[in-house]
Amino acid sequence: MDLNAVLSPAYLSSLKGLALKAKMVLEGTMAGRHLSPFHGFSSEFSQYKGYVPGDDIKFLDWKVYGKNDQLVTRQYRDETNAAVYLVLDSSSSMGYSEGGPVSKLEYSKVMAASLALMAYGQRDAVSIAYGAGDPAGFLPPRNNAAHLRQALQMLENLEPKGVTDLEALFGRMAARLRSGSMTFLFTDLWQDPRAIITGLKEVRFKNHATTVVQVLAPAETAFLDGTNLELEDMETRETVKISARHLKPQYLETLAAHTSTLKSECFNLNVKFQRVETTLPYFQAMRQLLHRS
Amino acid sequence: MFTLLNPIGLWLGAALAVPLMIHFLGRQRLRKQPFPSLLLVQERFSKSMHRHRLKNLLLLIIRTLLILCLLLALANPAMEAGKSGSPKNGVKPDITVALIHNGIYGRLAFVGTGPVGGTGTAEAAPGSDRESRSPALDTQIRRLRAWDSAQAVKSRTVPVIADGPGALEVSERFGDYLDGVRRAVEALGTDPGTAQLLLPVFDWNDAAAAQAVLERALKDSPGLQVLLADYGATPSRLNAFSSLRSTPSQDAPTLRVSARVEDTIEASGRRARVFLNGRPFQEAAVAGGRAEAILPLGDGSRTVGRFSLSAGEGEDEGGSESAAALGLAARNSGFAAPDLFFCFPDAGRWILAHSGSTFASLPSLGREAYFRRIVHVAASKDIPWSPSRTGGDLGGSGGRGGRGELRLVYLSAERGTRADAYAQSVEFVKQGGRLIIGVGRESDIPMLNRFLLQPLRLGRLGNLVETASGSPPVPVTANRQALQRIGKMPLDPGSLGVVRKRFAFLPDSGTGILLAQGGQEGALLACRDFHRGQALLWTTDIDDLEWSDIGVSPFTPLLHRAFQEAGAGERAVNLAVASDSIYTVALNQGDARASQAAGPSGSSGPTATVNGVEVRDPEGRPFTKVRSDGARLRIGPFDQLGIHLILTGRDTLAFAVNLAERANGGDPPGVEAGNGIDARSKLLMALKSYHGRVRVISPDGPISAPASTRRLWPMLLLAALLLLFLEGLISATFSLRKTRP
Repeated sequence: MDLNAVLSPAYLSSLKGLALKAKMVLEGTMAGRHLSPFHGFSSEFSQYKGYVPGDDIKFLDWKVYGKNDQLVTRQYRDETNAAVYLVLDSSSSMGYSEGGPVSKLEYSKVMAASLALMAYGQRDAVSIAYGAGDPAGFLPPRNNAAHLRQALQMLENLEPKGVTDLEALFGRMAARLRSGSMTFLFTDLWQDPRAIITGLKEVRFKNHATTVVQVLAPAETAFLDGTNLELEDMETRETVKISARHLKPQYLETLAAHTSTLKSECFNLNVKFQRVETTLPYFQAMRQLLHRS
Repeated sequence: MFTLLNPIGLWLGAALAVPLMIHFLGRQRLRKQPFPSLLLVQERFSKSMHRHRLKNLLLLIIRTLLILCLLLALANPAMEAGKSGSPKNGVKPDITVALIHNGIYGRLAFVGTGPVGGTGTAEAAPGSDRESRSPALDTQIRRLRAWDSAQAVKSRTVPVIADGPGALEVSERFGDYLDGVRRAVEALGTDPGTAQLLLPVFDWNDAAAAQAVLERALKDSPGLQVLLADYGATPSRLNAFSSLRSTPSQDAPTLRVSARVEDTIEASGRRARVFLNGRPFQEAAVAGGRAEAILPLGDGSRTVGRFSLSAGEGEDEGGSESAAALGLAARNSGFAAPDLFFCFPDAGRWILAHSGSTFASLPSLGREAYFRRIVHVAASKDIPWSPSRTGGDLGGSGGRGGRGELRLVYLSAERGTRADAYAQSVEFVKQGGRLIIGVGRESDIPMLNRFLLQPLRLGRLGNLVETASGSPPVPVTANRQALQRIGKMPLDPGSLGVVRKRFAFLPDSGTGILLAQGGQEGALLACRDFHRGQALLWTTDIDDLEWSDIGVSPFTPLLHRAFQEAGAGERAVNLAVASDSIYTVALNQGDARASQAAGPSGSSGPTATVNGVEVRDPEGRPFTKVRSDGARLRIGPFDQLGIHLILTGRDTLAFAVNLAERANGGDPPGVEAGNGIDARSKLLMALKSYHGRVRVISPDGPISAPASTRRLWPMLLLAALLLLFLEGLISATFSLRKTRP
């Protein structure tokens, strides 16, 4: 099976149901892998704990009881309330799809859903948050099927709206993050890098692992073709008359500088920075994302 | 001066719309494109767009200029090379149309220049005329002669002479000159390229009348230049006439008239003879099919003549052949009108050449101005009869010694004069106005009798009375007693000339006959006091030599003046036009001798005699601003309006009419604008917008080399090439910048 074809955004966009897409992505992601990078994530032994009534007796370490006559239970890492926060930038600019089969938000939704499904499979709590500035929707981290459905539903209903304010989004989210959690931030990062970094710092302060996923449409990475255009800002509705042919090199140059700045800052903050294009097959994007995550 | 020789090329100016369309269409092709964020665009767009706009603007300008240059090159612009421009770097006009008018003035302008291809020529003998011409003029004349008009029109490489019967006559009738100018303009066509129109101007009023034609020609033909050869300056004319009158016999100018003898005369086998005034003219020869007569000018004899050619003993025997030969001779002799007269009255003091109704004589320079200036010609319906109008009213305060304006009013049935106009005339006289009545049309006589002469109790005009050809002229006599009633009239009006045609006049009792031919029944000038006013009636036409030549004498103008002043009071306000303030009159030895013999003038005031000539101002006082070089008198500048008498002894040698306006505020309404000087400045002002293309050249100096113009199309093409290069350069520069990473 050609995963590139089957799991391409273009193909998956024809499918209905985010859960299905996410499952397919996940399966594609895991296919051929003998050792899931998340395998030990939640089943790894962490520590012993004295049994108290009410604890699940399946975690009793009978060997210890046999040797020491003490009832102790094994504790695993997933039981340390590990949570995966999936934060989506749902500003109007995320609705941009020029050059790609799906919009940046759609792409982000599939990615987030796949991650949620994966986390659920590994019994990690999944939290969904989205918004342009202040979080417009937030689902606290839980780990049950109902919660997962709710999360997927929330993602499915998500529509691009509002003006990007990542500083506010990240700042507000940081207040709700549990420490030691894992955060994936899906955004196009169309904001002043200083504001983004400020927000990221707050997130990073509360979190162990943060990954910034910059989702861009092809037209954003390669710029537009044509001669004279009147560009309209999807968020502010501001318009600018440009000569695309003449502006392109300068734009690309500026974009590189912008990305470079963000990358550099993310590196300093120990935040993983990943840029994906909406034409990239999801499983590849997931692999890039999970690699050394 | 910048002119377009092919303005039609500018019609392609629509091509200018091409770069504009490209520019504006390019602007309008902006399509709206949503973009996630202008964060990265904002920083750079301005610079980019500015460069883009700058490039577009530069390209627009360059392309527009490029097309403009090409269009202008097509329009074939030319620029006057200026004074330093030489024919080497300039362009000679393709065509020169010289208006060679064959009238008496034209003889001075282009002596010896006959129509090309004509069968007869008129030449002045080498002498004074030629001496006064500059070598450049001679060259020009030779060239004009050599040019073949038909070939010139065809090839457009040589000048064209425009001439033709009636077309080139200059006369005081504006229409004639106008017609000549029109024909000259027509000869040029509507698109003559670089062309010159060489127009002699003898009267700036005539030239001013042709203003509209000239303006249209200048407007329609951007490559046209108009050269106005100014013969209008009185000194030039006077000098020219004076030279005609030079007395040494060997240098005496002559007029040579030659004509082809009609074939019918030749065929008849009879010997053709030349007649002057019906008498055989001895200084003539007929041989080889051509008749040639040499008329000495300025020999002091009184000659009023008409040349004719006849095959018999008498003039009439030539019949139609005679008339044809005459017409031919006249047409080809340098004088346009078939009726050609030369008049040398009274010891050659006055020369009158009369062609049709054209005056040109030494004294009549003033006389002509006199008639034309003080007499206002108006259609009866335009006459401001109301005495309330100042300056322009006819009556003024008339009999109370006030000022009035003398007008010559055409009361003619053919001009649509109604009976009430006559009635107004009568009323005008009643109120003290002075009315001079002239007659010219036989058809007007009944109306005139009924509505004007009889109400004024002057009398009745009758049939036309014509002196039989060949019969001795009946002398004109003056009724001195009657003349004295008018006042200020000379006791001896001198010779009164000859009257050939007049209307019979039956005066009423009480009508004074001032001038008469033969006796009372031959009344020429009748005067009648009527109520407070006065009416004067001419029964002949003093402006037409066919009728009479008494207008040649200073008597008539003086009579008019006296009549006018008697009616108008101290000073006639109608002398409200400027004129030359210096009058030059030539003397001959006889004048001085006669003067010395006669002794000082018998005037009561102090005398100021120069070379035996005394000048008196209009008030009879001696006028002292007179200088003499022995041969000519230079009188002036005048400081008083009116007629200055130039007396030798008791005779009036000449009179100088000063019409210079000093005290009056301006021309009376309806009077022709100014004199020649005013008309000249007015014309030049009107043609000011064609500055550089209208020039006044002096007839005494060189006729002026053809205006040197410089074609600009090579420069424009070069400029277009440069612009093309620049356009490519700008495009390339912006492209290089664009592709730079």
